[in-house]
Amino acid sequence: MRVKEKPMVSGLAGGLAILLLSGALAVAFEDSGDLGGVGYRVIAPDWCWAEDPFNVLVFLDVGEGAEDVRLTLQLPPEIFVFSGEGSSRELELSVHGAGLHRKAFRGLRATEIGSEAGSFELRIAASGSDGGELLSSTLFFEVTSVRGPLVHAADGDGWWSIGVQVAVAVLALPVFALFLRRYSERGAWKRAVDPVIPEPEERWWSETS
Amino acid sequence: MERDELRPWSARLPFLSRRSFVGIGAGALVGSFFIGTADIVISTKMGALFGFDMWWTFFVLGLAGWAMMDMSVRYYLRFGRTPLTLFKEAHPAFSMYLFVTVVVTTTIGAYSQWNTCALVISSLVPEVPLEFGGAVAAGLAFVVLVFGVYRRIEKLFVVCLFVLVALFFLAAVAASAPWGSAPAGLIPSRPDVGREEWFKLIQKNAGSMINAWLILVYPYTMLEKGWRSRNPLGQARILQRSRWDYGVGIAAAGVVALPIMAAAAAVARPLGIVPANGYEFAALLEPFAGGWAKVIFLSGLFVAAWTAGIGWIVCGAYAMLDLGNMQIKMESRPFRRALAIFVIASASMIALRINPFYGIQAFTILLAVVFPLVALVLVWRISRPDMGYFRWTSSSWRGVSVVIVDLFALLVSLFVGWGIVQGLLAKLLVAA
Repeated sequence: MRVKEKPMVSGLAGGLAILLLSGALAVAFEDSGDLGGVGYRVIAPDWCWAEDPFNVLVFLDVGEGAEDVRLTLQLPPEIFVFSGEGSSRELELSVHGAGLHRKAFRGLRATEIGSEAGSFELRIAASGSDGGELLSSTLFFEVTSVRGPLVHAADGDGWWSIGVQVAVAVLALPVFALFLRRYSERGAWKRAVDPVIPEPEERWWSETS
Repeated sequence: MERDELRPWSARLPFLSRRSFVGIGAGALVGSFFIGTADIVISTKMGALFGFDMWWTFFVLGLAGWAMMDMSVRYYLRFGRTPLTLFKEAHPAFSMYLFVTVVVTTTIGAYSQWNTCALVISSLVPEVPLEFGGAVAAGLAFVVLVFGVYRRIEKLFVVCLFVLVALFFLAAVAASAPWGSAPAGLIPSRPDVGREEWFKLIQKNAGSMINAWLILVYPYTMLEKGWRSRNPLGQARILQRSRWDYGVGIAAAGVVALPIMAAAAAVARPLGIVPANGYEFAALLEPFAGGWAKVIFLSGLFVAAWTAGIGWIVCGAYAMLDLGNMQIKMESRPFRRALAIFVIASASMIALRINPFYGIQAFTILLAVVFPLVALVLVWRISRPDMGYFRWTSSSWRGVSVVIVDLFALLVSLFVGWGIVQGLLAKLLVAA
C-alpha cells in the first residue's frame, strides 16, 4: 500500500518552526563595555534548574595599557552555592597581559527552587603595570531557579531518587504480565515458535537462484 | 541449488542496486536510538576535553554494534525466528530476565528522553512546566505511532535523521568550528593527559554503541516488511542489503557526533568547561555563535531525544509482542496497547521531578548483566554448526573476517559490562 508522507514531514517542519520562533524569546544576561583599554563582555543565564550547574562567562580584550584584570563574583546569600573547592561566597579570577582572554566562573548551582531571583555582583577591575587600579566596573545580574524541588535534595545519598523511579518502572511489570496473559498463549514466554511472516510488497531478493 | 548446499559465505553477490544504496529504511530507526541524549552528552564531553581526538571511537565501537545486530539478523534469516526466541532457546530464565530488563529500561529510557524534550521546551519558553512539555512530547510520539503505519514511521525517521544532522552542522558552523582538525580524529590515538576521563568516555561510548538489548531489534523491522527467504542465496542478498541499512544507521551516530564535537571544541574547550548536559552546552553556544545557534542546537537536541524516545517505546513494544509469541506488527491492537502502557509509565515519571540521572543508575545495574549476556548468547547460538550458509568457518577469508568481527563484538560487550560493574563497585566502596 502506498502511503502519503507529506503531512508527517510538514508536521515535523511546522514543529521545528514553532521551536525556532519561540526560541527567539530565550534571553540571557549580557553586558559589554570598555574599561580604559580593557574590553569586556559578560554572559550569564537569567535562570537555571535547581541542582544543575551553570556558568558565568567573561570575555576580556586586554589592550597594551593594562597589565592585570581581576574579576570578583559575589554570590547572593540565598540558595546559590559554588560547587568547586572551598565554599566561598566570593569567587575570583584574574588574567595577566594583553590579548583576548576567555574566562568562566564554573560550577555555580542553585540548591533548590527560589521564590525570588538571586542577585549576583560581578566586579571587573583593571590595573596598570605599576599595580595601581586604572578603572573598575560593577555589574549586577539576577538568576532564578525554575525547577524543583528534586527528591534527592531531601536525601543526601540520592537513594530515594533511584528508588522512587525504579518503583514506578517496576509498577509497569504487573501491567505487562496482565498484558501477556491477555494477548498471548499460556507459557508463551518460555516457548520458541516460528513467527507469522507477512508477504512482502516486493520479493526483491529473487527466490529463483 | 538445494538449501544448505551452498558453501558458507561463498555467494558472489552483485553490488547493491542504486535504490538500495541510497534508500535508508529501518536503518534510520536504528539510528534514532543510537542518537539520543546520552550520545549527545558523550560527544559534547569528548569535544570539550579532547577536540576531535575521540571521533574514531564511534566507528570502531560502531563496528561492534553492527556485528551484534548482524548476528541477530543472521539468526533470523537462518531460522525465521525472532531475537527473543534465541534467549528462550538458551534458557527460559533469560526470557524472564529480559522481560524485567525490557520493561524497566524502556520505561526509564523513554522517560529520560521525554524529560530532555521537556527541558528543551523550558529552555526556550521558561513558562512552560516540565510536566506539560514532557507530556506533549510523549503524547505526540504516541499519536504518530498509533496513527502511523510501519512504512510511514520509517520515512519519518529518515527525515528526522537528516533534520538533526543538518541542525547540528548548522550550529557548529555558526560556532566557527575548527573543521581542519576533524580528519585526524579518525586515526585511533590516546591522549597524553586526562587518560582516566578518556577511558571512561570510551566505556560510555561503547555502551552507547552496543545499546544492550536494543541491538536485537532490526529483525522486527524485517518481519514487518516480510523480508525472509528460504533460499540461502536469497538470505545472503537480504543480509547484504540489511547490513548496508543498519550500517548507515550506526554510522549516522558518528556523523552526528562530528558537529557536536566540533562545536564543543570551538566553544567549551577554550574555556575549560565540560558541559554536564546538552542544555548547558546550548547556553555556552550563545555568546560565541549567537542566539540562533543555541536555538538550532536545542532543536537538534529535541529531535534527537524525541526520536530516541520513540525508538525506546517501539523497541519495548516489539519485545513484549515477541516475548508473548504474538504477531510482530505495528498496526495491531497488542502493539498499541503495549505502546500506551510504556507512554503512560514513562511520561508519568516526569511528574516526580527527579533527575533521570538517578534512574539511569538503576538502569546501569540491569545493563551490566545485559551487555555480556546478549553477546554471549548471540555468539553461542551463531557459532553452532546448524547455521547453514551463515555458519562460522575458517575456509574462506569472508568466513574468517565474520568470526573476527563477532568475537570483537563479544569482547567489547564484556568490556562494557566489566566497566559498569567496576564503576558500581567503586561507588559502593566510596559509600562504605
